[in-house]
Amino acid sequence: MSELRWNPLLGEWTITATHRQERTFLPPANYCPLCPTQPGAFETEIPAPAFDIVVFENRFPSLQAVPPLPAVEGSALYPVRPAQGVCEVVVYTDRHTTTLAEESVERIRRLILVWCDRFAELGAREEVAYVYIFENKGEAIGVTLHHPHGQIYAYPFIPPRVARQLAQSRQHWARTGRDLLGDILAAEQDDGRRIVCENEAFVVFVPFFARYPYETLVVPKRQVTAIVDFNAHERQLLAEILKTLLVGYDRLFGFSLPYIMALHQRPTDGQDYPYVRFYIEFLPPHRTAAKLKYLAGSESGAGAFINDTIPEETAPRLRACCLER
Amino acid sequence: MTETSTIPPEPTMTRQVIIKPDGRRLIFYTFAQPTETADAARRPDEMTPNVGASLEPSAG
Repeated sequence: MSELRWNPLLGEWTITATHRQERTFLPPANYCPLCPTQPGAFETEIPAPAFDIVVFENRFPSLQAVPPLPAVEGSALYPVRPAQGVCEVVVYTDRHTTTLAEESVERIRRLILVWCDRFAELGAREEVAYVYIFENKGEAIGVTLHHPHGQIYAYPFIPPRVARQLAQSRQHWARTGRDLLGDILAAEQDDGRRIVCENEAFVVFVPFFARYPYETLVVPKRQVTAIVDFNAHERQLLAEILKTLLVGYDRLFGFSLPYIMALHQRPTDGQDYPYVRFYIEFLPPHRTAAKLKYLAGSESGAGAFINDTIPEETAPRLRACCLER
Repeated sequence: MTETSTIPPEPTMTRQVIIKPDGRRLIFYTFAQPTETADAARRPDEMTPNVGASLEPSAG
């Protein structure tokens, strides 16, 4: 059973997807569904003995191109909708035991080209309002497969957190004529204390308002509203800055750091979004090597984040790890 | 600022789409590095994404 159920208290959709209870959970390495299929061996999701980058529709999708009808009847209070959309898996490499941080800048650049392709294709679909590209990395985040991969959700609505950011950005644009993230970037550059790394086209910083100790934003210096608007030079520089940041994250505590990586860009619902600036957000749950930031009472119940650290102290630590040769 | 090297030529991306037995789409992305001479004739900021440069027919 799968459907969208309206939450009138918060004014947002909940996606139900009961079939996901059956999805593959931390299989042994020789039964990884994201590895290439070797002759005579277990048949994986990918019917080839080797590959570069592969994208396929999720076997256990939360959203489907042809969704089932809702299993319950809606009402004025509780509207329901079919869970229409697309859920894709992006397999970064055919090597099981690696991470994006361990991959070359060239592979990251190829991945960026794949992201561009997926954004363009999925965003062009009539039913898709928002293309969300992300990666859940590490068991601390709840990954069920260790093979390096990301995901794409093409939603039939603008997700609530994105909608809230859009509203803030729209108000700022109306008031000042400038994009909000551009002003945040300028403020971070003026201050300098929270900058982690930088190149000609991108700046990485722990934002003034960070909710997680080592949360970072990767922000382009030129305002573009979607990943497809970068030129080749910028795509190369994005690959380079991601490599620097990911390697720095792994040096931070001396192990491959779990994180959520989220790409934020303009919706694809046919409206105009001149106030949007593309960015990538990293949310690592670790606050120390052994301690995690949990979304507990204040965060989950009230929506108010408590950060046990201050960005002016965490950013220099991460910066030192990124500068290390 | 992090040092950046000379921008190497961007690879050309091609796609091969197959339909799995259960009807799901799967796309193989492959990349070919353009020759240096061909790339030298273009400035990086003139380049547009090579995405979807070639769409092979469905094999499934």
